[in-house]
Amino acid sequence: MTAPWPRRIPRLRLGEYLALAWLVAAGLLFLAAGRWEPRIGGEVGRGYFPFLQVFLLIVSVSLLRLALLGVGKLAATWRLVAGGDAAAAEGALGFSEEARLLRQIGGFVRDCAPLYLILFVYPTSDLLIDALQGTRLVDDWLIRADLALFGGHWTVWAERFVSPLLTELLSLCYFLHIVIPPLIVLAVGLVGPRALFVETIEGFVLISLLGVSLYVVFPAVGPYQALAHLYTRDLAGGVLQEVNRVVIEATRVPRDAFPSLHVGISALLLVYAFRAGRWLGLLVLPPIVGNWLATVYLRYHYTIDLVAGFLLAAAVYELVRRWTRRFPEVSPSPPA
Amino acid sequence: MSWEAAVELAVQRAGFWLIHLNRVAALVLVALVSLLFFCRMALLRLSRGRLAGRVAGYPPLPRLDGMLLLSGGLLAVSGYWALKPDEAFYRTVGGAAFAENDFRRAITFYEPLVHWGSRTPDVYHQLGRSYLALGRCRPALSVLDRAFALPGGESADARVLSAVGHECVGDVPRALSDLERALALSRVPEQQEAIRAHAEGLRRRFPRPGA
Repeated sequence: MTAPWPRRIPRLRLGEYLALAWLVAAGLLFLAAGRWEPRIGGEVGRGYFPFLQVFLLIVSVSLLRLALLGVGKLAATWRLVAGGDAAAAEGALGFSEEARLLRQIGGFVRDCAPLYLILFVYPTSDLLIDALQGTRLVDDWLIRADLALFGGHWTVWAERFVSPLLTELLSLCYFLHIVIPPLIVLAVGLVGPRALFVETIEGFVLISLLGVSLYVVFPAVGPYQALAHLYTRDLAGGVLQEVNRVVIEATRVPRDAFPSLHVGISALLLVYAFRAGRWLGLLVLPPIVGNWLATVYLRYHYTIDLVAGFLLAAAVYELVRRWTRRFPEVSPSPPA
Repeated sequence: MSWEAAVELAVQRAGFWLIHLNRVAALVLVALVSLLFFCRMALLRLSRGRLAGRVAGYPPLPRLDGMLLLSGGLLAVSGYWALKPDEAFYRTVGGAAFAENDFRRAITFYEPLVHWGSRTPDVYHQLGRSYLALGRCRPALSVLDRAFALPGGESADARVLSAVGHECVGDVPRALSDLERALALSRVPEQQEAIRAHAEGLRRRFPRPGA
């Protein structure tokens, strides 16, 4: 008897469903606008995303292990052909080690697949804002919310702390946000159970999608531009500030202020880092806290953006936790 | 160059090289793994007479042949991708060398693209220009001829380059015919004027016998 049709739908993980749903929706929109090919081509060509590079590197390390195993197997085969014993035969004719390594690579690629798909999401937000919002910005709302909730602008208040050294230090922390999430995901994959690795990726994918959706709903350029008339001091940094500026300008989309994903993603991943190991959490805590401070000090975000980032992180953490409990069969079990 | 611009350039270059090396490493490793597996299967297959009866667990022949074919196919595909130059990378680095008038270096990056059958006419044009700048007229003509065969590969500029090449090897009639073709392709009055002047100069310097 054949299974009823809903059971024949492949069982995907939360991150896979979400990434596919976004891709289909964004793809249809771009197709309708006739802008799919150049945009996607451009993003594939850029390929500088740290996640893609880090995971390509990991796949390369696994391939290197496979190559070293291949050298050993070839040597064993040569010994066997030259009249070797049973040990050589076992080495030459067995395929279980290769199969295990290949399964490992395949499993890793699948675990990370939502990340690869999500790479397209962030840059597409700009086109979606163009298509749905035009040139509308909500900076005014965010400024009013800051005034009502916090009585002023933290980015202006933070001017009293401006110094070249602090600018350099916080620029480094802000820049490290590009490096630290892939490293946390990698570390969780290496030291934590696989179920936690998958949960971390699902959390990352969900927060990215929700964050980018909020960019589309609430496009804002941030205080650096909207409150420029209120600043009286230059941030006066050096090489690190310049490196940070170049990298952030090259990778960001222009209307990505609300919510702060620098805060949201790092807060979420900090929780997963602590779950993987206390030492890992403590190791990444200082640059992450520096990153939170930098969002205000470097004038990238309003205070309300930070609050939204933290709330989003908490909501995503809980959602992913509930999802993985509700559908445990699609998440890999922790090793015995 | 200001230090801010130097930092920007250094960051971009570092990222660019990292991405390229990462890609090359992955492709080369896939090809290496395929090669090692293929060699192992080939060795087992070739030694069948000696091993089949003696060694327990020797794979059945159809399975061995299947794996040999599979690994051979994988080796061919992965080897192709591992050896094929990364066009975006080569074009960018070659273009940077060309912009700095470092034609020897530009040639080292453009030549592999042409050898691997790039479909981008600009690559052929820039290589042709680089050859001409170094006085290597025959290779330039050969490359430009290949460019003309590509869709969008024939332009007024490229025909003028070809004329310069033919003039360089002493084939004045072909040079004049290139200039006529360039004139037909050109849509810019200033360029048309320059082409006419070039052709006129050639005719004066090399008058046809009996003319």
